[in-house]
Amino acid sequence: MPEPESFDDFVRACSYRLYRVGCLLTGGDLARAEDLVAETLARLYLAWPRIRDGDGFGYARRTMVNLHTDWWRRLPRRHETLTGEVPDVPDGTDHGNQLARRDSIVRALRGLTRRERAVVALRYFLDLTEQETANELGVSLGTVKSANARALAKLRVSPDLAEPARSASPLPAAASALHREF
Amino acid sequence: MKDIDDLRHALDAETADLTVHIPASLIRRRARRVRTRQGATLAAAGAVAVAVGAIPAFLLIGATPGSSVPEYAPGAFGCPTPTRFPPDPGGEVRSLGPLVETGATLDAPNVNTRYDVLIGLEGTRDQPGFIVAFRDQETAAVQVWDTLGFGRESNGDIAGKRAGDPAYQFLSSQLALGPNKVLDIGLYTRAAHRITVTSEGHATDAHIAKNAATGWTFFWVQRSARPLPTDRFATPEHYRGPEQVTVTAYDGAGRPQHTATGGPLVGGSVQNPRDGSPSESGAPSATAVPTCLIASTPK
Repeated sequence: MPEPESFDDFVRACSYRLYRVGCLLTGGDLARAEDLVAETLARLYLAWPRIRDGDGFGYARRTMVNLHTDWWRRLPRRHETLTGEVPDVPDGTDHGNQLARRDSIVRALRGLTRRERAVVALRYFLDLTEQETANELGVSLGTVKSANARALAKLRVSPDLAEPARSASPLPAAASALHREF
Repeated sequence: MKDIDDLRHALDAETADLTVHIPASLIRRRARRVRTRQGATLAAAGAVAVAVGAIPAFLLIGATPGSSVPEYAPGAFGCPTPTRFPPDPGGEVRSLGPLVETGATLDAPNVNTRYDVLIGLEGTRDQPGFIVAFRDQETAAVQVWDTLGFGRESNGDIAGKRAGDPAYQFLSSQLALGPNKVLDIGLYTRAAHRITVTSEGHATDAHIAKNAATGWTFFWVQRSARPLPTDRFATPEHYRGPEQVTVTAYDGAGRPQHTATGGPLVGGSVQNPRDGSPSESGAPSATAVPTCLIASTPK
């Protein structure tokens, strides 16, 4: 397959954003998110000559969502290799701190179903409309609406996303009203 | 978390510090594995169909509206018998008729092999995939290298990518066989008496064959023309140079039914074993004389 030079450019430009979506779809499983991105880009590579309308990211996004939805059937089983050597070396990054900062929303997302996570990622991270999200997931608009409502209801009561206690809050009723907005 | 804006902010902020580096070599390796899996799945599906004797003669050659048409029989017309899959039970994809001989030959010096080029459909009637397969002339092994899946509208046309997108009547891809030699292959979503493929101002009649499983019409033609440039996908705009391909279908009275020039589904390239790995020669070699005669002779 003659490979357009722009494929590498696309990979450089979009891997990061795809990885972020993958992180949300997998509920913070970074290894699986990376695997998902790699598989998505492999599919994209095969289809690249036909993607001529400039919406390569849209194609990749749809591929990634579909792969994630049907993860275990579509992806090959990964074989683990036991080794006595640990390949990781410390690079000075405070991963603990990073994890702590990332943990709240990601942990809350783990409480959602795959479809609900996908709806949240598409609607609120990628800013797709409900109709676009329905098209992307191959479901009806009503399904998106109900999944969205369920997801927000779960997030609303998730202890991982609870606001810090405000013992001196003078307006508990107002705060409650804000919560109802989503 | 107070509201939707808070949620948006959290989703953004909590993934902002991620870093990822996926080497291009890894992507290519995975792509090769994906392609192998796709080919294996199709082969397994074919095996099932052969095993249960479930492949009727779907394909009719030389179909014209309102006329009786000869039945396509693999091995007829002096053509080698196409596509025999290994007897391996299992598989997920249904065949939509046997593969069709295009009569074109692809030389792949990088793997020191010469291939016959075949086209066909797999999948289901409503979600078919147009496939291009290559048969090793020495071993008769058939490999599917290119699959393009799409949806089918209720009127038979190819569905657009998204809801509300226009439907398409043509799918047409091009395989460069030499510096001035191309094979154009594809399908038309209706019955047609005649289909022409045009570039650089020259129209050429294509061979046609009707696929009874879908009602669509395959077409294929080898012609002398400059291939579409390989870098035509590098820009967001569709290529509009002189090599741009126009496909036109005519009815029995010679009236044009539909025509399409360029666009998302006309003028795509064909993944193939020659370009699948580095070639020493770099440029495509000239095609050899086709190994079989085709039943439907262009006018």
